[in-house]
Amino acid sequence: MSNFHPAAKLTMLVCILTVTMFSSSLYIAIISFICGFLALVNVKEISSALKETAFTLFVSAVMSVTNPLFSHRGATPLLFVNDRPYTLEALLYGANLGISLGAVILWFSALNKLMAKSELMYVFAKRTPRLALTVNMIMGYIPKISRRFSEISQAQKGAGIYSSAEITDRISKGAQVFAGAAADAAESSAEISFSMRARGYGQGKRSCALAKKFTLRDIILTVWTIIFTVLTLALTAAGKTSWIFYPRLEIPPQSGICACLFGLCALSPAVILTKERLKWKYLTSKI
Amino acid sequence: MEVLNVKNLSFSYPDTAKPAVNNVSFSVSTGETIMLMGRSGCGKTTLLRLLKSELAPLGTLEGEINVRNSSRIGFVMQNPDLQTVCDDVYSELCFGLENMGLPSAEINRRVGETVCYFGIERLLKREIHTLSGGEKQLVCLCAVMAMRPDILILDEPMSRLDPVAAESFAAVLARLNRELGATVIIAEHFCEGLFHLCDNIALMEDGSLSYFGTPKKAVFNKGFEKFCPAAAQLALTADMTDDIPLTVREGRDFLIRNFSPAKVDRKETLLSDETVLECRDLYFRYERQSPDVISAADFALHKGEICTVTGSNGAGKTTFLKCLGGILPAVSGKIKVFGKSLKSFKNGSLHRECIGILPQNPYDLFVKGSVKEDCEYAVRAMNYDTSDIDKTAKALGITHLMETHPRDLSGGEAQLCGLCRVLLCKPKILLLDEPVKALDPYSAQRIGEVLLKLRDAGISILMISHSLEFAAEYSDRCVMFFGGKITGGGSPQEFFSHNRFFTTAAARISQGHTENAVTVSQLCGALKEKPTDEQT
Repeated sequence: MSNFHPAAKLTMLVCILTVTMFSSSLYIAIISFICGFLALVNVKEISSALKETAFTLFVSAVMSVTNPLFSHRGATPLLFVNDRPYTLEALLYGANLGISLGAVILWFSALNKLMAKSELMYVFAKRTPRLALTVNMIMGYIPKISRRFSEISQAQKGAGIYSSAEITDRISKGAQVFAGAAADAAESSAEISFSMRARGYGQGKRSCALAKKFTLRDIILTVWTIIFTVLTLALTAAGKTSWIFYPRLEIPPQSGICACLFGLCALSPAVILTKERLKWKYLTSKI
Repeated sequence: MEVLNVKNLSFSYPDTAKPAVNNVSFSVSTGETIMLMGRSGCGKTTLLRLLKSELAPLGTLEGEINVRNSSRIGFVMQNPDLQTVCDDVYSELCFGLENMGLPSAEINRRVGETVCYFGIERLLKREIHTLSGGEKQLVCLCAVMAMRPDILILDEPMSRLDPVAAESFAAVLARLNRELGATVIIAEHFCEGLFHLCDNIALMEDGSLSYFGTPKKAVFNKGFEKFCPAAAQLALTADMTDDIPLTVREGRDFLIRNFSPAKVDRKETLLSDETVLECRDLYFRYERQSPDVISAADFALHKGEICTVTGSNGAGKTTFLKCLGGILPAVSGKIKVFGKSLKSFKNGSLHRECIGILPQNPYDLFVKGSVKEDCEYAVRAMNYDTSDIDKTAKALGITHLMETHPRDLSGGEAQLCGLCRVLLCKPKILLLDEPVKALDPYSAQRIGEVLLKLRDAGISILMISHSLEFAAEYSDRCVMFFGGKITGGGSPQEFFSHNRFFTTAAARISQGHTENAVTVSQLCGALKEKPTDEQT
């Protein structure tokens, strides 16, 4: 989807994530999970996509199975653990929570591949270039500290520190090294700010090097996703989507249709990616 | 046309009595190249930073700095890690132009042409922290040049580069000046390849400008000899100063014209049969899928020798040193320390009393508020006696630095303090990662003398060095790290006289004329005895 405008892509992904996170319908969670999986398969190696999906499925399963152990609400006990009821409602609630979470993880993983960091920055840099740069630098600060931490601890190790095998000793020395790394990173930030000023930062309006046109295909994608998202959210507000888990499970009759509407929106990345893939196959087959 | 004029400039940092820059005056015209030289800590960086108002340090300033109106100044700092702002090369190149508020098309055109000129297309999508030192420095220069400065100021840009990368960086600067008429002001210790191209040389001593004038006359300044190119040092020592040669080529002509071919006796150092550190068939890579950084490396360090490893930036020398020192685990292969396997050293006993490692960045050794606190902390952690600290500091001549905050140490001082800190482990083997990096020739000499003393005290030393002059002067054996392994070892004379590219300037001058002369002193020593008939 590299030929789509970053803002269009971001809008689509934000819409999908919003609905997934804020609806409490198992249907929507499952559809989001499946669509997320389909998108992921298209942007990653099959093996690593499957591995990731398997991991998130495992997390979801653990969440749904353990939820009834902590929450004893619900009117349909399936069995008793330590004289406390293990209910169907709590199980389904856990499943909803787990699968929603799994779907969000899959979508974030796909987002990383669908949008380069520079594209993501571009969307924000257009509006608030300074905020974008600040956020970017803060994000860069964490890996920087961790790199400095390993350099300093290697230096210390090579000069005799960490000589005892005691865990407490090692931890206290590690803390010392961490303080050193953080101080060092702070100090280098001061120097970097000098370099930024020397290159004209903060002396006028900042522009952005990337330039992309918002074309017809971006408009179609954005309108498409917004229509279905608004529809789903409106139906949710009207109480037609959300499942009521406690005390007894109640599924609104329109819930399935709502989920299908959302599915039309959530499936779009997978459809676009599959189309691109088929087109590529077709083009190469003619060579 | 004058673009920059400095009049009676003095500057002192807050709370210090002595001015860092003292009554400096000079002027620079369009298209000139000025080289600023002087010992570490003489005020070069302060002076350069004062020229660019955004970088000027806090303190009291007297005198005038006049920049011709609307002249833009581009500044490349010493440490590339502290001046890169973005994650990837492309964003870094765009950064300054974005700050200027240029439209996207203009930014991309300027970045595009600059990238083509410097030939760094292949780096464009790379993340900056994965680049080698030379590549980083080139990106920094490129980012500044894309902004089209009228005056380019560089603060020791080549101090972290290997000799070959430094030469090509110097060639880029020369090309900028020649083809684009850029005005360049550069502070640097490395002078081969640039010195003769400069219009003026500025010498600084203790904050004041002791000389400002042409390179040909600059070489006659007292106490400046070691800063001069090898060819000039040769002529000065031979006391033939009518027409001072400045480049390798002029040096060769000078040699052929004035002296008959000679030969320096090869000084063979007898290496002890006993090996203290040995590796066989060593392999290392950073990730399972990544290529080998070290592959099938064999190496042995003999007892009581100083062995220098040379090689290009990013070749894997530091990784090799860390593997040998037991800091990074080898993927396969055997490492033996005093005949015992590396793995048989338990509980850090390897780094106590056995191997001491001075890292590339000596500041990494200090995590406390003063050098002394750090040393005490280390000695306590190793259960040694604190009286060792004073003894070691005295031997290295750094007693006056013990109360200083580690960050306030200059490059040379930091190396000595780092060495002191490592020596507290009472090592029998020292592994040094670029101990003379970014040091002026006089500070390097001091480190070299300390190393010789340590060797005579029975410590075996393995060091990495980009300064080939230093390697030729102080090592017993030189080897090259190339293609993931150690290749072609030999005595400095043998090593450098056989190399064509990776060799000292003195060896280049003497090649084919005076055999086995790889340092200026060796060359001079041989020549004094045999002047030709025309001369006498």
